Amino acid sequence: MGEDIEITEIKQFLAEIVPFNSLSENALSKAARGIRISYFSSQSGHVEIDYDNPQLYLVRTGGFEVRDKQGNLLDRLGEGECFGYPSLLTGQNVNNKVTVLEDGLVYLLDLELFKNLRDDSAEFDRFFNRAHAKRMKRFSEPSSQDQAITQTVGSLLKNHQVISTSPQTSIEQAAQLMDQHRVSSLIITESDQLVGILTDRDIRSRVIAAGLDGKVLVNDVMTVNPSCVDRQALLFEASMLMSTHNIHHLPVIEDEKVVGMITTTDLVRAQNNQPIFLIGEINRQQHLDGLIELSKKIPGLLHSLILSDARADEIGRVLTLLSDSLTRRLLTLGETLYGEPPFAYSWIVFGSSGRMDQTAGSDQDNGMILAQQPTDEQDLYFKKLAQYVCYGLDACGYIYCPGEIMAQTDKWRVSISAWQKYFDRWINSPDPQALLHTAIFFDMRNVVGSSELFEQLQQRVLTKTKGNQIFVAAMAGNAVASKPPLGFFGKFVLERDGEENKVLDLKHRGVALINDIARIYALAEGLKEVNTSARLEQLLDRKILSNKDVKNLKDAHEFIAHMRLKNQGAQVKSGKPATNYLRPGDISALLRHQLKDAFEAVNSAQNGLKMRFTRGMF
Amino acid sequence: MSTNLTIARLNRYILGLKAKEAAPKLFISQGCDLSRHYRQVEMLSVDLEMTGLNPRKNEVISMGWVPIINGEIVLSQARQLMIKPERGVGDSAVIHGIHDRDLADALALDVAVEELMLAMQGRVLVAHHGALDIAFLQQAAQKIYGHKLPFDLVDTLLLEAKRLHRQGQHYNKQQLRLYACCARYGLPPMAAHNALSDAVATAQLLLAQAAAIGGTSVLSVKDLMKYSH
Repeated sequence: MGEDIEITEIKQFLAEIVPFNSLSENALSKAARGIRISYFSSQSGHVEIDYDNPQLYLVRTGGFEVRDKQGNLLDRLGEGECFGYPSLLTGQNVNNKVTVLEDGLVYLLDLELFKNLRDDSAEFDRFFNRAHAKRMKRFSEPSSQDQAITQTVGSLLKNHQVISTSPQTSIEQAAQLMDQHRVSSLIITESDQLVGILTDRDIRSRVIAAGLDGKVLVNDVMTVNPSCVDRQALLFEASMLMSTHNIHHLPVIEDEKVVGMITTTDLVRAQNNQPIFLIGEINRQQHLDGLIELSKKIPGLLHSLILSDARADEIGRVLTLLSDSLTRRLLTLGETLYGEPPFAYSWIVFGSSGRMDQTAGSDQDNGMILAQQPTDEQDLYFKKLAQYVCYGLDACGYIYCPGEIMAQTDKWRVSISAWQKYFDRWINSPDPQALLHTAIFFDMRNVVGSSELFEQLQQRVLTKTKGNQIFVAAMAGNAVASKPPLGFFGKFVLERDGEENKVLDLKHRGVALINDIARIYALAEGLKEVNTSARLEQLLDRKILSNKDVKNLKDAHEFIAHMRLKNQGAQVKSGKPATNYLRPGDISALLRHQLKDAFEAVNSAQNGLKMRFTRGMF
Repeated sequence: MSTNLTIARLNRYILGLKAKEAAPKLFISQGCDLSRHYRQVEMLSVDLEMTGLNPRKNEVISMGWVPIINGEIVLSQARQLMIKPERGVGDSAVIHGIHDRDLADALALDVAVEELMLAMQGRVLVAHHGALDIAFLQQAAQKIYGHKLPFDLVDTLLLEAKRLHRQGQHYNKQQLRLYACCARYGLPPMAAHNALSDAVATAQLLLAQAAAIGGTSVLSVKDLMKYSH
């Protein structure tokens, strides 16, 4: 009677938040029943932490901030987020100070309950250990530099589902299981231990060809004690194992447990997706059709790059290199089709291609610098060439620029002196409204053709922007007009996407703002670098920005861009189009506050920019 | 309900009542120093579900409570009891969702009241619109003990009314309902008309109100009681 009282609402709340959602039903009830509820008011200032009785604080409502002894901000927390765990984990008196930003309810879990929950779920335990480690080191370091070399076996395990059965199953049942899950092999386990594998081929050669019926047991047919590969092993190693032993299936092991199976097909597919392979293939194509066919591999490559946790920076570079290769190849094919150009030109790209940070679904932004004023006949040649390339890029998935910023548009296929006039006008009379549309031209890069032409133009532009206070102030005014999506208490300010979901726009309110900041400093200093990270590095070298500012901005850029890519990967995987919109509920509480920190860094960099360049004009 | 004398006597003993003592002071909140900070006094947030609003005609069918100790709501000591009504649930099932069939294993009223009195010992009662709950409890006490009981009550509805009044705000009955009050402090919604959920919601509301009223100053239980009259 009354022994199993639990408050449904509290259990439900726990069941929906990370990492409590990994707890068993039983542990969840235990947690819901063992909680004490406290209320903290901002008027009382901060949360008194009793280190003799450490506990886990789980925020139900309100806002809190954790700072270390030196006053550095460690975490900002809202609903569903935890604090107090360092003391619980280390048993030490951690002198962090927790300030109440906004009044709220907090659920308290004592040491014993916390221990019980950690024992219940390895994932729960790992979450707090990882959160603790991450706090020590705010953003994670890159996990791979060279995708081709460092991709691990684990990155191929797309779904973590392991299809397994016991040796006592009949072949008939095993075959049904394989059919049902559309797999070519099964993991055979006995009391959670791997004892063998069963493949299509085993059924074919050891059952059907041998004249046995479906009643024969898996035990009598399977391959016992198969070779295995560790989840952390490189694809290269797996590939070696398979070819030495002439096998096609490898169970993947982690902590002595089977976590999946990889096949030779998986490996081949993985290697086909390698950027180096793709670029080589692109350069061999003789027809547009071949290029279109190859470009279909790019989404798969992007997906495997995202899965392998490659840096957003690297992914942007790889995607841009691919579109550069396609562009080069298209120009070569076009010149074969229409003949040699009458004089030199430079094919330039703008915006994300210029900065080498393309993402999925980037459109094309390009133009042509002609060495001289063309005659009508000459211009017709360049126009045809440009139309061919733009059409080809569109067919390869780089859609026509909605704003017509393309070499096939007459306005953007002009002589170097005409380009110089364009830039002169933008720089000399900076109308903020017009500058909004021209900012992308300041992120330009030569892809094919005469680099002298390009450098001549760039040099002229930078000479004019360097130290140009009026121009830079106008650019800076535009840049700070758009703010990162953080509200007063460090809560996300959400907007609605087309489908009425409340979302964060990771592009326009995240990475784009950092690109703006880097561009403005770079133009003000006359730097040639176009890539955001390279610009920031140069600004650090020249002591324009401090080490801390540059590190924070680069980290924030990488983190937000990474979240955007991950989100796009998930969108594509679930059959939706890739967008820049993230629903905060789709990511863990931990990632949410890292994201908040990143936005906070953007915010403070914007303030710095404003102080330095706008002199209170905006 | 027939008054069970044995239980009545047992209760008097447990509650430290002397037989026939007419109006025993402090028997429930005995040991509570009402002048202390509210966080240092134990309280019990209680909610009753009844078959109607008339204590003479209607009956208590469910009780939920949760203690507040050191300013923290202790869920491990939360209780919810079902009580078998003498006359059946009737139409009120529509409101609280408790049907006669759910009450098959329910307790008799005197046993339930005895449990509540034990939980209430040494604690100050907290309720939202407590007058109604107390009217029903007094009705039960009259039956069981033959006299009424003195309760120390902190009423979150009256606290809220006073707060709104002091802020010069106009309010209506709707705005004083438990869920409207909780929403005002951004407290999470709970299932309405479930005795335990309501008791937890009331306890949360009290903590939020006390934080809003008290600020940084020391707020005693007496202050809270005065504020809610």
